[in-house]
Amino acid sequence: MSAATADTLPQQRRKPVKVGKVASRGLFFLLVGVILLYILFPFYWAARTSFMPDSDIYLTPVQYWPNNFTFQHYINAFSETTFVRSILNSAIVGISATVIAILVGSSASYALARFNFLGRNVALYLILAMSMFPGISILGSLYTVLQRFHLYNTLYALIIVYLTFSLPLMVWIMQSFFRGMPRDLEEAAYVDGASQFQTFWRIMIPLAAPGLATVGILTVMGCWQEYLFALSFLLSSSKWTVPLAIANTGANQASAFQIPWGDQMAETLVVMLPLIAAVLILQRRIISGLTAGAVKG
Amino acid sequence: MERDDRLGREMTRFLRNWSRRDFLRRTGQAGALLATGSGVAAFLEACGTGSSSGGGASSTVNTSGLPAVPTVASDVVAVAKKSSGKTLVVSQDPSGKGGQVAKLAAAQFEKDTGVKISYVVAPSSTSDLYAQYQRVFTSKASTPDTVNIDVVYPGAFGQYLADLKSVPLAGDLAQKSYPSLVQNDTVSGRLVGLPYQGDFGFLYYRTDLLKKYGFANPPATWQELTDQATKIQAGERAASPNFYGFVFQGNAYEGLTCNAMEWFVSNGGGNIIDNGKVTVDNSHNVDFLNLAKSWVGKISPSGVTAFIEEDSRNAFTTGSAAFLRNWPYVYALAGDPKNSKIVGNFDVAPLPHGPGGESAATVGGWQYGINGQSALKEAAAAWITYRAGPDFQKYSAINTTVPPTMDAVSKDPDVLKANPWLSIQTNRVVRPSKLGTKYNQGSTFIFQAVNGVLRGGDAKSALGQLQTSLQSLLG
Amino acid sequence: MSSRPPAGAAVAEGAAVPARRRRVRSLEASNARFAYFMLTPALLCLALVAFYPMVNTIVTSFTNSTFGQNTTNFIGLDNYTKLVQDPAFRTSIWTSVRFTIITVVFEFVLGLIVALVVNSSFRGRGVVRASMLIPWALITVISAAMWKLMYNQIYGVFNDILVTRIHVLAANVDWLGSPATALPAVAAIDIWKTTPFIALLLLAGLQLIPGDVYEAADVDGAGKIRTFFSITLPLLMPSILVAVIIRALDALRVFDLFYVLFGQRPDTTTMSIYVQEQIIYFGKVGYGSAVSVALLFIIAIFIAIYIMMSRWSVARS
Repeated sequence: MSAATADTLPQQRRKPVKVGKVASRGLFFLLVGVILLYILFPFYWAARTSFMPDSDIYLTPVQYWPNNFTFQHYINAFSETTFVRSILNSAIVGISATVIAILVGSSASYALARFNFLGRNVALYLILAMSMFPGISILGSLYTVLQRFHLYNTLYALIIVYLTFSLPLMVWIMQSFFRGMPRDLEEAAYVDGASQFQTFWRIMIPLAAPGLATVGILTVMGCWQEYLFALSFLLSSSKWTVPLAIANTGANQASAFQIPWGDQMAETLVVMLPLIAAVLILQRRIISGLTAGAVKG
Repeated sequence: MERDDRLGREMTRFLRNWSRRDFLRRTGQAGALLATGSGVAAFLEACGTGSSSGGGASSTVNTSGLPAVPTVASDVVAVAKKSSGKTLVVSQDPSGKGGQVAKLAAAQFEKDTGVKISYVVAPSSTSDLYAQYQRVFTSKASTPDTVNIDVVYPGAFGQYLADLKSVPLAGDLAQKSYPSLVQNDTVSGRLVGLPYQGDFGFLYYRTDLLKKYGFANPPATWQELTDQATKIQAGERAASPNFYGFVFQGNAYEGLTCNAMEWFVSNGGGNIIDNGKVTVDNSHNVDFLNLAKSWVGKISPSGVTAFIEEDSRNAFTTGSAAFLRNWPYVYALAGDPKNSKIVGNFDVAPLPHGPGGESAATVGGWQYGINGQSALKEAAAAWITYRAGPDFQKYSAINTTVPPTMDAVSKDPDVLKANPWLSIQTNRVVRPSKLGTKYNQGSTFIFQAVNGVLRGGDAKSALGQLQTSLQSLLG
Repeated sequence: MSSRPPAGAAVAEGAAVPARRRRVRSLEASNARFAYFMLTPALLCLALVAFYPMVNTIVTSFTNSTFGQNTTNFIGLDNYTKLVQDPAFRTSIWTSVRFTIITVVFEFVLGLIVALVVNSSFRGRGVVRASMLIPWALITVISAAMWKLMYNQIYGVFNDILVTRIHVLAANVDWLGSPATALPAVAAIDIWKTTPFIALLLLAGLQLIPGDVYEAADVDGAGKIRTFFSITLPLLMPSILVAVIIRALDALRVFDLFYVLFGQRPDTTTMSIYVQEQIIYFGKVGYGSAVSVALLFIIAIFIAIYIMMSRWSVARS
């Protein structure tokens, strides 16, 4: 889609109010300013904290700009091998889980959307019921299952768990997506002799790309941030994902009681920036994906 | 709708370009992607396994700036050499100077005995660590071979740990620690923990402020503390509106149980559970809790009910408090100009006591345990004997200010020079770890009750309820 | 375009009726087989990772399984009877529900405002749309810890601004420490983090509304407010319902945020924290499993309410 497309989608058009137009425009931009401030202030605070020595954080009066600007935390972040390695681990887990979830989820969604078969409703409700499960409730049993399959302390464990937990949302969005698409193309494909699977793979999947991109982003972001399962199923620090590595950062403080704020903030920002860049590039896809039939309820 | 038309046009274009080869190619692509994903994961697995058994421990190059660790004693070497070439899996918190010392220790041990050390991470949060060990023990895993048990958990994990009296060296070494620790680590007649770190709580105070307001000595009783803190705060408030007299750990968490024990014991209110009976509901404790309640909002900030160690430490080292109750770790920080504004203006003393009572200090700290399912119990015993031995404890005390657990080491002149607070004479008390697996629940009752009073609740009814709850835990 | 089933080709042949029915049935069977085949991976994952553990939890809830005790016995409904009489459990439900209501309401309102703002065209709209995603990208457990710093009573920036700079408040407030402000404070963190996501969902819904509808309203002389309430809102209802239910389910199950900020404080124990406390911290696995099942049940009630509400709103339109 070209850059102009998203902007030319149907929009609210208002008849300009002549009286107080400048005032209402000014108020509008004030609102925009407040929104931006609200969204970005904690991010600014994290950045500020990452550029100042830890001991300065506790001083009053509060420093809005660091008095003792320092890059030390970033140097620490990059020299901590656990952290650098965790970025790789999180990328592997996130991408694998997302790719497999997309394949599994879109297959299931297509089946549920397009075919009527015995147990269809049951399957749909079962899948959606998963979004009800609190992670903490099944932690112990899940640990036992993973142990039995010798998956404890492996990245595979996280991949399987993350992909399963992203299935409900994926199926939810994709199956209403598929349902919203006209059947002509599939029928034409059948007439041409394509099998059901070829139709699905060659036609439906490419068309569903915007929706898939959306759920893909959501899943990757979720995997990137998940803490509880990662904490419970990984033992070696070489297997850690990013949240674990950051929360357990600590090569540089003297005692176990201290929290290395600056290092943690630096690491968080380092991790965040590529994520944001990726999301910025794909944000049009996200919105068009959500627009193109997903949010029909 | 225009949207459908656009989609329709795209669909038709795809269909026109459809071909069998394309389909195979696309399937191939997806398959390749899957394979790559799992392939990289597998590769990392292999890499990970490889490097975690090294874990930085094989390098004997010392880049940490710390002096060389002690060599392994000959009797320890004799025991360990029998397992030479094998790998011992050790639970270790990798953070801070302790983590660096651990790396050096592993390298030295391997050099002297041939036993390799592979570290697995012990999360820095005690409750996360508890959860991790729960999982390890209930699944009967044989690794890690050695574990780090908080001083309140020997009872909880005792049945899963090896009896140190049945392995060489470790049992004998344990007897050299403070008797209260040894007793704490003995569960149902079995010695399950080898103490290696012995924190205890004491009072930090501002020498310059005491002098300024005419107090010759730090407070000996809690009432003196209250009076001194009130006077100093009143005087300092003009210059610093956020100055407080006394800060401690009042959050609803384990640290408050530590503070509460010190309060109760030093005021003649008993050890909460004495000789198997709950004794927490008595007039001494009620009086003290009323006193503590009166501090909140006056000489302690109202936020003290959410303070953990670092919050109180920061208040003190940024110069915003006159008195602080905390662990030994603050000493080094308070003397470091990078972290403290009160360098040279503070000192330490035993905590105050009540009328007719003695100063008390809650014991914190850690013990080594050997996994009952471990296949390398003797090598594990040799390792923990090395790490908790007098030489290593002296090394740790001097270089990383870790409090030793042996009287002999505590009185060593070099150790005292690095840690002057070790000379504090006080009565070390242990929390009711005999509650075993119910310890967490019991401690939760205690700290929630005390926290409720600090926030304004009634002391008498809180202690009455606490008495009942704890009694029901005891069965 | 009629949606003729692919079996239409068979009909055009003019074959005998029984043969056609056979072909239709075999096609249906083949379709069903294909559908089952496509569903299998998903169901397999779910069975292994979700349903088996959940069934395990349910079974355990009928036992007295405890950490440290090697024998486990079935005790029937004892755990549930205790649960019903447990005041701490009731408090945790109430805390979770309060948290859910605060966050969902604010996220919906603020999300709607942001969506409306971003939906209109103005210079710099791209910047605002892009920055909307930043809170989402900051890792939850770390940003929670950072908010804790910002909320601090002594050196926190909020107190600095409100008390020292603008003088709106008289004295420094312990946002997270005092029970009155703790829940709103932690809700603010969640709201900050999730409003962009809700705004995106609502924005997508807004962009689905064709411009002609607004033109018609303009022509009819409807004011902006009236347009919003009688046209925009009803048309947006499906998106709103989806956003609300997703958020409500997440908020009811919230764990990371409270674990990092509060630990075992009684006044901020949500249902998930209570489960963690019982199963892991106290080692009371059987009882904790019963709490898990109760949690599931409560969530199911919310879903039932949602389904009823969405049916009602669909019936109205």
